Amino acid sequence: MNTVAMNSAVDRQIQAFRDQFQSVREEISRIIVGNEEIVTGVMTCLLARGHVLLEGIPGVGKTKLVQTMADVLHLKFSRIQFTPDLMPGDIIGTNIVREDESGRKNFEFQHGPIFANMVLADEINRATPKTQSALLEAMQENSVSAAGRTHALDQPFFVLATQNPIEMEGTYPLPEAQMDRFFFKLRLDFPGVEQLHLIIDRTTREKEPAVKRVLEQGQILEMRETARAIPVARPVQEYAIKITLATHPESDQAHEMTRRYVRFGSSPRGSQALILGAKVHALMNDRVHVSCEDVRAVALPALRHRVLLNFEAEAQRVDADAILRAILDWVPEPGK
Amino acid sequence: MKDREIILGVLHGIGRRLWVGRAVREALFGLCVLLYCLIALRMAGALHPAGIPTSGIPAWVPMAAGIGLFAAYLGWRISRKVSLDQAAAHADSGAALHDELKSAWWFLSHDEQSPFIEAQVARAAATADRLDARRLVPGRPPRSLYAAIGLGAVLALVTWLGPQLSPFWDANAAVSPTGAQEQDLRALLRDAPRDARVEKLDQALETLERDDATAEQKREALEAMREVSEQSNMEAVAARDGLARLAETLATNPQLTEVAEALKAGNNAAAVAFLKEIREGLPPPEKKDEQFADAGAGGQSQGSMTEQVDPSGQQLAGNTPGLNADAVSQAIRKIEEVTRETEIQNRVEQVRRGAKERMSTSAQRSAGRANAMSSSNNLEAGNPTPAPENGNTDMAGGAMFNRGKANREEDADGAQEGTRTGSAAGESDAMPVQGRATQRLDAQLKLEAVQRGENDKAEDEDDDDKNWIYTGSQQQASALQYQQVRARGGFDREAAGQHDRIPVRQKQMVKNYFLNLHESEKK
Repeated sequence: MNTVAMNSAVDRQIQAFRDQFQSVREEISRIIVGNEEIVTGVMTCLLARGHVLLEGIPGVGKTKLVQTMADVLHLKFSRIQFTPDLMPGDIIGTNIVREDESGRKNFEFQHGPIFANMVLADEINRATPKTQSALLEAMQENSVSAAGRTHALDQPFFVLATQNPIEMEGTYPLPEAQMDRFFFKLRLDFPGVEQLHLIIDRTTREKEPAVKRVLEQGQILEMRETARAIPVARPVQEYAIKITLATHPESDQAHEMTRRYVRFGSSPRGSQALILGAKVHALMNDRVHVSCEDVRAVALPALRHRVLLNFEAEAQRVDADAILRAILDWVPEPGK
Repeated sequence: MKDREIILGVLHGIGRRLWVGRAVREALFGLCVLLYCLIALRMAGALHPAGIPTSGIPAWVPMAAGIGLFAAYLGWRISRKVSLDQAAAHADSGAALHDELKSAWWFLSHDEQSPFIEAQVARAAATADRLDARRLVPGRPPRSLYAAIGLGAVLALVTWLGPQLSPFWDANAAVSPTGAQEQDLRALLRDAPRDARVEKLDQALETLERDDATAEQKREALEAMREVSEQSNMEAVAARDGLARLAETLATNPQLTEVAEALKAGNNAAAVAFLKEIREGLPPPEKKDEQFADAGAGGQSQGSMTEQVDPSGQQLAGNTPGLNADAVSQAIRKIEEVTRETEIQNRVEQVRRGAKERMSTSAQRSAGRANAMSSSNNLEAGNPTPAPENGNTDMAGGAMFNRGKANREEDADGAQEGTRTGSAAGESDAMPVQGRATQRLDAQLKLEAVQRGENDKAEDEDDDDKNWIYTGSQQQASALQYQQVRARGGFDREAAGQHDRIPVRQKQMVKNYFLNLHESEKK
């Protein structure tokens, strides 16, 4: 294959990625009013082989968004409503005794709801840490272990967890290790007046609008491959690393606010999320290369849940987003 | 390969333009710093003239070292190349390319291969091909140019107004025509009558103006200047004295009253004109008087000017029957010689003073102020009241007191030239020369010395009191004035502490002079 043909193949691949991405976004927007950034973020996580944590007050459409996505994507979808009495086996599955035709009894693994392509972990902070940790292996390894056997999860495997930031009584905040396994943490804000009008119009009529499936499982996997294939130049990678290091209070590249308000900075998964998210962002914008602008675009959702604040920050109501914005303004782009 | 060449060509072009722009900015920055330093130096020099050396080795060595170091620093900054990474980053930000060229250049320089990399490089090459380096790096003048222009204007303003901002600035000296003339001291000498003293002064001035002259050479030149000036002053005093005697003698002759009046008024040109008129009315001489011939032949080289003028005056005195054309011619020649001598003396004095001022204007100003406050050095004290004729204030008041009338001249247009100055008390009408009682003190001292040299030569050989002089007391000697400190090894060494050194033998003469001077002032 000569260079021209190769380039045209790449161009077609990129064009297909962008078109498919756009079609998903348009289809979701028929149900979900506004929140384009949230939809894009969720799609980015899906295509970057990540998982997403959606945070927002009740009623802003977290669960609706995930359900709509499941409808648009031709994927196997399951929903787990996390409650305090939920057990790990309720998620992963369990061995049950089954009697065959000859009367012999044996154990058979009954797959839990986690064996799906899209898993909605609704109100994940209401389950106990033991149950929450059941998701750890599945989210990181894309496999689960039960009764001494490891079961691979079907690809794409995508966890969408939601949590409510205001009803903290009777909840179990996610441990840092589990928070780090989420690719993005997206915040759904309360909709504006115009958006509320649209929401009411769409949901109070006789028939709600329906969506069609626009993306097959295989197409999603191809899009994932395309995203991974996007090259990143070293200067851009250095920029992402500098941002990550700037969140570490003990680093000599730390920002002043980091030294004052941050207890622990982002893990290396944060840098991975920055680069992978930037790749998807670049492809969405019809580019074959990743720019520092792409890194900046995904920096907040990729790092906000990876930066652990200290008591002073809590006392002064300084949130991670403010620190990250200061870091983004402070870290210079390479070559400037 | 073609994509690589396109991208490299564009990046090199942008890099070159960036480097040129940076070099211009750095050069202008250096210019701004230089202008700022010059402004600061001007201001400091104007406000503290004694503390900031503005000429000579103490000023030029640190200045040259500073400029050299700064130039080296600027050169290092300018010589830094603009990397292709920087050029790519500039192009990306200037054309909103989202790091396209930067990424493409990085992939090209690291030789990584993949279909996506090739596609990215191909896209970057297509983008680079559309770029215009002149639009990305426009050749507009940097802001530092305006800053440099502003600083240049400030420097010009400070240079123009600087002296007037100085508390030491002398407004009268600044507008004085004499001060303007002294800007070109060599020109003054070129116009002066040719004389060995003028030649010597010209050489000394040349030495002072030479940049490579050492301090010792300059000191010797100043010493030579001082000697020439002293010699010229003495010659001029003697000539004026002779002229005064001639005037007194001519006044006894009723036919020459106008000539005598003109001479007393210091108008030598009018006196010569009168004498020429008189000579035309006389019959031509039948035979030459040997006495006049001898005096005329040796007039310029033998004896003092007083002695040369006297014989011609005796021939024209009132008790001489009739007027002799030869005697009139002789008188005319003598008056012209005195005029010439006065002219030389004036030029020499102007040049010497101008050279001193040029050597260190600030030091001279400080010295002048110090003298003005001193009561023990009236002879060199600055004249605080400007003369009404020319506005001069820097004339030594006591020294020029009796010189004014004799120097005064009028040309055909009536314009007054020469050194006409006010007295130390501020009176512009100086006292006329009225004989020995009020004769200039140094002329009296010289006359006394000449007489003693002839009459008491043998006595002096055995007498040690020729070295007896009145010097300053120990307290006076220890009280070093600022002027004297500045004068150490410098240009006005000759002026420091010389005026108390009056020989014992001439003490009475000095006392009489000042007694007569005060009595005449009372009158």
